[in-house]
Amino acid sequence: MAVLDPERNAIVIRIVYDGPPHAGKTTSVRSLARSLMRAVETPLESAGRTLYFDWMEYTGGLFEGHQIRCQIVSVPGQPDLVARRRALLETADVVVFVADTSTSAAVARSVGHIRQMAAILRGHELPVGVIVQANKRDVPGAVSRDQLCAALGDDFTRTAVTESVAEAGIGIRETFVLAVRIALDRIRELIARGALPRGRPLVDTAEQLLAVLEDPPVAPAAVPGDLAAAVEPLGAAPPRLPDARVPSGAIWPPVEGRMVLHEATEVGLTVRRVGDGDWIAGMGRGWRVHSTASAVFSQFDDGRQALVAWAQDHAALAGMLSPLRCIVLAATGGGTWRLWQIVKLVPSLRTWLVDGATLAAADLLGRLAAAAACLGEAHLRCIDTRLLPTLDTIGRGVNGPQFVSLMPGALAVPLPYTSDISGRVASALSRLLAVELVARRGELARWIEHVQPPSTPWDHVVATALAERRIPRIADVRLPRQKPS
Amino acid sequence: MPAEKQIIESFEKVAAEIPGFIAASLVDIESGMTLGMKSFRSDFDLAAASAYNSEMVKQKQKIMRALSLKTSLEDMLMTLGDQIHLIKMVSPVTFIYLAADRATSNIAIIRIAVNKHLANFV
Repeated sequence: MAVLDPERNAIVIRIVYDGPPHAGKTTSVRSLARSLMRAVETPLESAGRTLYFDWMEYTGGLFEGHQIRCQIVSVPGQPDLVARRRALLETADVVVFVADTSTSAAVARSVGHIRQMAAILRGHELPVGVIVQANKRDVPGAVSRDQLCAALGDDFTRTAVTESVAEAGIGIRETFVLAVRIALDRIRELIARGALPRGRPLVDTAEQLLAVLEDPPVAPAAVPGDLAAAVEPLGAAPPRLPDARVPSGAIWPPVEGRMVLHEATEVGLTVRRVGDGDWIAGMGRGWRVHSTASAVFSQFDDGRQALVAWAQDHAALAGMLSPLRCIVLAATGGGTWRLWQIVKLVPSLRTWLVDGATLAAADLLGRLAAAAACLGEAHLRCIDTRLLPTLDTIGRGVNGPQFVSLMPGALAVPLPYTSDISGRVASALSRLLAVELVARRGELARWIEHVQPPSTPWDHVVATALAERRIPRIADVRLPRQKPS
Repeated sequence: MPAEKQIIESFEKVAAEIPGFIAASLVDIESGMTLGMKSFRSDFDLAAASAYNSEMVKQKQKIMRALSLKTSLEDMLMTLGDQIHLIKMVSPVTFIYLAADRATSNIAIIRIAVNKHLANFV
């Protein structure tokens, strides 16, 4: 994502901290922040775990007369947030891979993780540099550097390895400076090829990065990685889509699910692979047919076990989910089984609001207030569930809000409790008003000010969103971690 | 390369031996980023000074190459109205940048103190 920003005379680079869960990514970034006397922004956390990213900006150094603006980002390490991790890695100019070297088992996990990372980075035309930051070197009996290098294998023999104790701030700054140096090598090559973009970076702040990751929302992987037994290479042939041949016991719900499957497959679907390795179909045909990269099984019984667990999750949330949906375990045609999720497209709140963009001001304001109320109620009903209520995932059902998007995976983390639901709703509407409804924004604001002052609480939320001219800051959406007792 | 904590500790030792010490940093030549620093003056933007001085080092090295000088750059001294700035090469990729008050210090003291602790920055 490196950009030459002539207006600010700066080269903007992104340094992404990757690694397995609990390896010390966030600790490294926070330690670096202390060292550089900067602040880290973390949009949302759950029990100390990063759900989106950690973000820090640092401007320092010079390159060819330009300041170096570093966007330092850490990814979420949890397997079910792999899509977010992938999205962030794909924008990296250099990756600091934080490896947990405290035990042999931790090193083995790190090796698995770095191979996934390498597969993600392989798509770049110009290679992205990687530094392995061997962390937790202070743990007695930590795996030696040589053993780590041996475990990494031949693919990483030319990768720089640094050592650190992130909690104590040891080795962090040196690794960072080395990362900048490696990123600059890449920039130099981009300049030589005439391939370095100029202008303001598309993402310049943590808020903007959050907006990019949320819109469109990145659906967490549908199936926990550890349940998926088979590994499918990135260049694999497209799997066969589910059809009437699906055996008994491989579809949920058993009766209605088969009807949904029949209806979905009748329209003629074409499957294709998307950037994160997931398979999708149904785009433009009124359906969302989706299977995550990891939802493939070499044994039918393993797949069925995942199907049953997932069906139980669906049943628990049935009151909240849009009705026309099913999950199916289908043969891929290559000797494996794949778990699919099929959801009939139902207009989301965003679609409903955008469709009403040409309504009269009073009517559009009414629609915005109704959407705010719906999203607010969805937030209340989604407390302690894994469903992420947004303008894209919530629609208007007969009995109130309904979740119209793909069901998150079993390892998805519930949103932290917030007492400020109206603030969250206002933030969501504010972004919509700043983009899709920007042409009507001024008129609606004047209408509220001079003609139709807010009367209900949700009218006030709309008024707040209209008054909010910027994308909400992270501080506005940061939430308490625990529900008050 | 020493850890940041060691760098700071070494600069504290250097500072103790230089009357009028203002600030010092260990700088990565290529990026101009600081690997560690110590400053006694909050109004002295050491990160920016380090970055711009890295450009100067690179320019000087370029000049030496252009002149086909078969030698190496050891240090660079700048005398300002009220300050002395010293750039001391530590390795092919790093240098120390140090600023001291001209009224209370002198170049000899600065050079002796920096050279005494130089090994701690390698």
